[in-house]
Amino acid sequence: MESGDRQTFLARLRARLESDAPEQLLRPIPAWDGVVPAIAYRADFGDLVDRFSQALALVAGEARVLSGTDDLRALLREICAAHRVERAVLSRDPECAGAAEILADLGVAAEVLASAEQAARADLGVTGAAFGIALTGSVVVDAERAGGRTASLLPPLHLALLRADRLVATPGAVIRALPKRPTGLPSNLVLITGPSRSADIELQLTLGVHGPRHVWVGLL
Amino acid sequence: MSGTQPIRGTTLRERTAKAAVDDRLRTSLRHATDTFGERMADARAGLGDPEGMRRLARSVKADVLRRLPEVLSRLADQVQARGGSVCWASTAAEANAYVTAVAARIGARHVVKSKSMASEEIDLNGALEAAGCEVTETDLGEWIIQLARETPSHIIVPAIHRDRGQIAEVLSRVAGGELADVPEELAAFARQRLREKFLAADLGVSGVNFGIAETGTCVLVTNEGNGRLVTALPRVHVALMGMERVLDDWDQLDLFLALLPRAATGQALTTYTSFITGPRGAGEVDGPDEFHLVILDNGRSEVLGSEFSEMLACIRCGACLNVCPVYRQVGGHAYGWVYSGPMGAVLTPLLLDTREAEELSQASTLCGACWQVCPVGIPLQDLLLGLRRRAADHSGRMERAGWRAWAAAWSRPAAYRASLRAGGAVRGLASMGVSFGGWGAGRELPELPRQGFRDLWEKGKV
Repeated sequence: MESGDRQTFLARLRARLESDAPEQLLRPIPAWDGVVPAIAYRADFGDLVDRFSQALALVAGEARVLSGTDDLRALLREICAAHRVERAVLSRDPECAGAAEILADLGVAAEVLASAEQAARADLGVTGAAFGIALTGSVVVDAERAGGRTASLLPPLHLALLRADRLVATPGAVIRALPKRPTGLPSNLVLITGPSRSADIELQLTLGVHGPRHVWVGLL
Repeated sequence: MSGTQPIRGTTLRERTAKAAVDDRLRTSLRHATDTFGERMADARAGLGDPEGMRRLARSVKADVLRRLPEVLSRLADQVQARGGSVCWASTAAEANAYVTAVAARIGARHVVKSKSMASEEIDLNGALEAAGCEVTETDLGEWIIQLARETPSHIIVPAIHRDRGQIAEVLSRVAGGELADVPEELAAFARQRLREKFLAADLGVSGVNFGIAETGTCVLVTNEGNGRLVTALPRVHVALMGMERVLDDWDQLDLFLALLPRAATGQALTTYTSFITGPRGAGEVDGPDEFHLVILDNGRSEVLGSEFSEMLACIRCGACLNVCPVYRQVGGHAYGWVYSGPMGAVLTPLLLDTREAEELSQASTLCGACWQVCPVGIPLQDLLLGLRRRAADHSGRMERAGWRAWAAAWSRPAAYRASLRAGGAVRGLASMGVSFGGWGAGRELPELPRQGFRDLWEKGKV
């Protein structure tokens, strides 16, 4: 659906662009060849897992390397005990497959994401992540893959599970690949870099203002 | 309620005079601008070639703006191909009418908003409230100033002019009880109260940091997560985009996403960078049923193709505010409208085109610090100078006639001598109608000697 008059709107712009208005540029704009080269960062990408863990720690998140189901069980037990988790919501990402059973064993009511209202009642959200970005400690959460947006957003605790082989070095490696995604772009895709934060009161850092207060990334 | 009425009835001088004696404001400003300035410098150091990126960003933006009609057309086509709706809003009134019509059609009572400077510019809240909706700003800083009925004093931290005690006072009124002036507790109260608003809302309104024509995607950068909630919970999402905020593709986005958060808050990426392409997809349990993109002109096309067109490259990072010697002393409210600092001093007169707005070009020392930190290399001081020239062209005919008389008089020796004898050059200027305005208010004209140098010379007394 389209409202307003596109032709009139754009004709006005064309008329402005074709007018020979005085371009009094003291500093001429360099010509551009149409290519945006890869962004150069001053960073050592030696080991992507190390780099990712350090970057995430800088933004108050925590990365854990999980070598198997036992490690995942230990992490979930630790989170649930420390934060008295009673309800958890799980996304439909493939990485979450084993987590529901572990949570049930721990006495947590764990359900697969079915609605935003349900996610709003959960203490913990567990999602997968399509990619991780080592430079920034970000995970890429894809609404189509996860079956929704709110499991990583509404609960005060968020655990993202990421296959270590899905780590890339820079945001550009993900961003530039997105339009080539075989099934087209999902309705919603978010780069999550640590817990929700605000500095709106005297610039003092406050975590968990709207989104999760704690974020863990489990590297599988 | 509306906090976005354009400057009326006050002058720049009055507003700055008020700010300059507010010690609490100046302490807050110094702390905020120093902190942001340091973080920005640290973040830049993480880039391999920040200067090269800045030059490139400037060229890319100029190129996109030259092709703006076709790029916007592509964006609109792609948004619709993904099931979204598009509104071409030439004016603020058209944008407001569209959003209120959407609200009326779905019977919306509660509207939640994430930060959008464009919505402040058109006073969308006022329009929605007039149509019977309750509108809640959900960015913590925006919520505070909404409750206090103020406009943003900084583009990134809108309530920076208030300290924790003043914020506790505002939030306590809403809580109906005394809240401690502890940021953590105030934020916890906001989370709980705003979460109720989110869950009850029918309509979510957001801004757009970047539109990507290639795929019809809207990019939103936020830290609190309210931008995600606004675009995930209500059944309808309306995104309001200034028409200049469009890019061709994701390669360009990679560049601008590397620049924006570093310049704004000194972060490599904000906590949440959302890419929104159409409404909720099949098989998803949450997300809006409808997605609308409003493309706003509202005076921007007048800037396009003019000597000020580079202002349309601005990505609203706020870096120029933090380094501006004028902004650092007086804060955002002295600029009288929603945009402040050097970018506001340029943009406001371009969008409002009133005498009150025009004098904002004087709120600058032309030192060029803004240009040096601008992540897209806009030569703000050149634009400010251009606006001063324009203001002079618009100013009183008497003054220009006076200067013309001065030029004529002083280009011929006889007339020059006559003008001196008529009471001296400076007084002569005044007598010819040159107004010294505010400059003259604090100064006295010198007493001239009865005999000038020329007279003495001619009488052989030198």
